[in-house]
Amino acid sequence: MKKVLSALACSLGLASVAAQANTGIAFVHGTGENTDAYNEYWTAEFVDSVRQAIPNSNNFTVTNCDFGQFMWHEDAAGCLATQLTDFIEQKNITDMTVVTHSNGGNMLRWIESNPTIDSRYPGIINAISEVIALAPSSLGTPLADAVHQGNTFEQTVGEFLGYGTDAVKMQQTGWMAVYNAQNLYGTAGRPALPKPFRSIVGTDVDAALWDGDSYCGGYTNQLALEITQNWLDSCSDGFLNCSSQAGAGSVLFYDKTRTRGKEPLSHQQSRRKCFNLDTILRSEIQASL
Amino acid sequence: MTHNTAQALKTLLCAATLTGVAVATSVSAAGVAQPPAPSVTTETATIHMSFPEKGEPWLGSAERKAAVQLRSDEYWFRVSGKELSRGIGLDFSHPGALVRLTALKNNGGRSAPINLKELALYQDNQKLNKAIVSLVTEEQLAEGTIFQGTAAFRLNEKMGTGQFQLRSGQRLVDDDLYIVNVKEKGSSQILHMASQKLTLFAGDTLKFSAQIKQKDEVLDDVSYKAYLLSPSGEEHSLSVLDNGDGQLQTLLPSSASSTRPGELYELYLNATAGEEAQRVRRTVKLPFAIASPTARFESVIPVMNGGVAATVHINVSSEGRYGLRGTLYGTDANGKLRSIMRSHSAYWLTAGGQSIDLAYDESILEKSSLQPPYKLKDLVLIDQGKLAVLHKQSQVD
Repeated sequence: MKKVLSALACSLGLASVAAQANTGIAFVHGTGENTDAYNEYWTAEFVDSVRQAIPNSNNFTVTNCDFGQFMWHEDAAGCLATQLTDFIEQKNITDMTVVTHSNGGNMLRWIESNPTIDSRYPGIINAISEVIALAPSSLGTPLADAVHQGNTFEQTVGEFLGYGTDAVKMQQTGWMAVYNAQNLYGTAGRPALPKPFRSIVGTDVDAALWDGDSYCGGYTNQLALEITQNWLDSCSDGFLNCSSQAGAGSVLFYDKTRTRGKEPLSHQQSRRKCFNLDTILRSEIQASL
Repeated sequence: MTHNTAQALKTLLCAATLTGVAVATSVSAAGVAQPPAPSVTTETATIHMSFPEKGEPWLGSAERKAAVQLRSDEYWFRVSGKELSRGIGLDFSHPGALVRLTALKNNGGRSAPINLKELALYQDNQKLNKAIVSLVTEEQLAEGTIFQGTAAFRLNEKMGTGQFQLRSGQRLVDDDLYIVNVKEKGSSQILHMASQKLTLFAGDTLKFSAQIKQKDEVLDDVSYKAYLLSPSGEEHSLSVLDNGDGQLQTLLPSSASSTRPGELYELYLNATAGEEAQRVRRTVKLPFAIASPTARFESVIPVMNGGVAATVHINVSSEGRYGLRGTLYGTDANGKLRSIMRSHSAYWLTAGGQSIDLAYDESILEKSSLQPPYKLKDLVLIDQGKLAVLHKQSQVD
């Protein structure tokens, strides 16, 4: 162990880091394979609004990986580690806020909970200042059990989960319970995550033809999520129970307490420019700079 | 026997406080052969990393909850098209149950979807009118993107509870297969299942607890049937031994083997309580890992000096990447143990006897207000390539 103690000087010197803080934002999508998450998963208007929170709004990245895989898969965590490391190195990022949606929260928890499995992970963890997790699937979803059980649970759920993918297996409630107990930190009774993980929880789905708010994020999706709510708790975003969204780290806020008009954020809406979510995120990121 | 910390050829130690949270890391290049596939990681460097903890009090074994606790307010089973045409029995123990029928794959194709309008509920051979309430409005159906292969309805709450028969008047293929799922949302009768050990070896005894509770009251005379589902979809029926007080166990088949890293087996447990109209049915599935014994834990020696929390002796049978993790505790002014840091170390190891250190970060220890004696708790040995927990030890004394 003497070799550890007599270690060479570290490239991440504390004094230089404090003096030259360089803030960045990374957006990490949820389940599924993405090649243009900026336009298709998040939408440009959402990303371009949120990134105004930091002094240099060009210090942002939108990752594109295959999160239809198990979280530890090279195309999932491996891809994410590559893209985050490239972003950190190319932009000299020292303070990185990571905004995740849905299963993207599990991806960050995987990296933070398994720091010795990949030599890229410590550098990513050190650069992270916090994770803001939009509707994270920390405890999985009963809808994944339904999809896995019956091969499909219809188009709607499939849009969020895919059909018969490893990500569907992984996000079954029982499977996530096992991974939370053995492989991941941040849930009740487990070691804390090394960096703050704050979640925004969607509590309901509004879908009414006469209500313009139902059209934010797509009316068809709202209709479908209203149906899938039947298989979830009374508090859910149509895809995840509130208990799952609040299952790791701490809760930043429950949607209606801060959204415009006290509107709920469905699972589709919590990654879009709906009910001032973008400006709320901006103020949260600015407050922690 | 080799000492792998000493093997490190080049080590970097990083202690960063970028956001007021100190994280210490050391990475070294080990210079060994690339691991064979399949493995979750191809990393060969020795890596150490510690995170500060928040001073959580140490909970002894008796105060700890089971590693996994599951609950179920539903049951499900498989039926054929022939059975659905003849009529299948459904037990409802809570008014307003949700029923879902999903077409499964069959002989390479998809079974025909169920038409909700062709379903009817019977009780004592009497067809019940208005018993089935559709969950989907005409508007939702018109969207055409939902419920294409599944029929789902809610039992009219006025029908109450008891035994019913569900029949389809649709012309179904005899061999087509369907999952019938009955969810009794809001029911106070819940099947609880818990297990402490989540990684087992083939042929091990799986111990778990299971009880149907109505609020705090435990239901008597519950019968259990179980089967094992492998990640590849193979089913094995299992005998369940009821040890009383809700403690059960079953013997895993010796033929069960580890599969893709992280993929889990599932123990399906069907529980039935009560008779006829009072019957309560519940299904729950317990996922767990079946590991290969790629390394055997031999012993651990607490060190707590010079950045080494403990030295662990293991016997490696399969070359690969192995990790140690544990939580370091110190003593507060009241003599209580409280957490200081979570430490992690990982190494690429060749076959044979190995001694590896779990390193801790001295700078985190120095900043802590907690005092000696320091204790290492919750030591875990992991095959990182297979994501297999090979050894867990709550106390290292």
